[in-house]
Amino acid sequence: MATTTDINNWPLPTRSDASNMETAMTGFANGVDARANPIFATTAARNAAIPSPTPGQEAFVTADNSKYYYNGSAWKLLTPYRRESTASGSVANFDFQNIPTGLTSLRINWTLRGTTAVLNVQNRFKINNVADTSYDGIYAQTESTGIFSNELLGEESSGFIGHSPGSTAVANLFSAGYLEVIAWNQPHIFYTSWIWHTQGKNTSEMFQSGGGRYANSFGGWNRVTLFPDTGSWATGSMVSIEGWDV
Amino acid sequence: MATSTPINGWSIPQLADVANIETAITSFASGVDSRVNPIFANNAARDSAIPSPTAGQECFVTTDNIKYVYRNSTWKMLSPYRSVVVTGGTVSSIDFSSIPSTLRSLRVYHTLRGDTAAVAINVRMRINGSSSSVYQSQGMVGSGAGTSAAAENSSTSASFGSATAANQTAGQYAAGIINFYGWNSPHTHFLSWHFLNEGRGSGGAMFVEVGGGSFNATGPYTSLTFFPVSGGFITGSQIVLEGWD
Repeated sequence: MATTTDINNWPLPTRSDASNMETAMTGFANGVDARANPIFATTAARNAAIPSPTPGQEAFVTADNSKYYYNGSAWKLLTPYRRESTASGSVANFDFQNIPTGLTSLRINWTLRGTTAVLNVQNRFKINNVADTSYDGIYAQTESTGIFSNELLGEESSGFIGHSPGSTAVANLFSAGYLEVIAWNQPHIFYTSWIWHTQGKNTSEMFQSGGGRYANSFGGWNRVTLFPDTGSWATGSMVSIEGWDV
Repeated sequence: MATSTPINGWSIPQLADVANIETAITSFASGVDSRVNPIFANNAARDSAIPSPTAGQECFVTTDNIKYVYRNSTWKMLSPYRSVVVTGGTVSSIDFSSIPSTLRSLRVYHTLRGDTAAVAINVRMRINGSSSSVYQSQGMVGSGAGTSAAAENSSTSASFGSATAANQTAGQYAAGIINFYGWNSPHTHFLSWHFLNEGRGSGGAMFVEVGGGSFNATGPYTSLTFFPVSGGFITGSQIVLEGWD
């Protein structure tokens, strides 16, 4: 009869072993223990329970709702950091806090509609709720057969990331777009940059591509807030964020 | 007493069983063995240990630091291929080799600054180290209030926009993404991509660049090289690759 399991080669007790349940089961139990999905409250608890992890070992940490694997030198995200929010009534903003600072990029996806009685509201965002005039931006826009570029340099207290329909736009029309903060982990301290795409409608169909940067030396990014320049986001608006660590 | 576990249905030894620890534990152990996270050095070791995987079975392969799940009759990535370079000094290029040729999509995130005495510097890439005249690109630029378009044909590398350089405001890096589709060569020739990039140019004006390009050579595609048209990339530049099969 086999003395080890087929896949993981864990030792199995044999009939000729001494009659001792402890020694019979310890090797098998320890093998299972190291290849299962242990769940810990914090990364500190994980590190205490697994002081010498092996490459490929896994753990789930409830404090940040993330699954990790050990890559041989550090614990890394096995699944992306993700958070989602959908407006079940009008909301002033979508506010995501306690985002890990080590994410190499942070992607923010949205479908939005404003409550104000205008054709379009501006999509705006802040990092770490900082509201100094350090947000710059540039975007190219096509609408019908027209194209133009617009620069928003140095006077902005939040980042501009396109437009979304307001309440006078066609009923049930929402924008769709995304923002990528390229180096959320700040490999260089000064200037954090992003790019974005969005689709919407003004008097005709409209498409916008842009970029921007936060031109100041704050660090430790861990929060993103999306809000319209006027009013609130309408019911059915949705934002999700997603990122991976280094 | 229950004769099997409630979730996986693994058999549990019973008091009335014949006193034989081998038969008592084997079924349970085999069940656990196929539902945990086995770790293998490479795909060959995995395939040898699991010759007949079942849908949903998982494993980790340390050679490529990727978790796999067996589905649709093949092992597929459960976590993405990722590779990160952060420059600790000035480098003439940032190179990625041994990129899996099976990736269907590959995304590049970059934040770059050159050391050349200019406000901005064109940044370029090569695939598989090829410097043959087989790269095409087309881009649209918004700069200040102006727009323009540019094209390249039969180039020896591909432009993916511009980075800031030594004469630009200190600490300012450009940033962007490149998306490759069909990195796994579903058709021969013409690997294509699109890109979006932002930065700052003459007189401090910001620019945004939207474009795409193609590489007219057959796969498999396994490496990428990024470099400025002159000089190098300085400390704090970063490129991240992320792909799925």
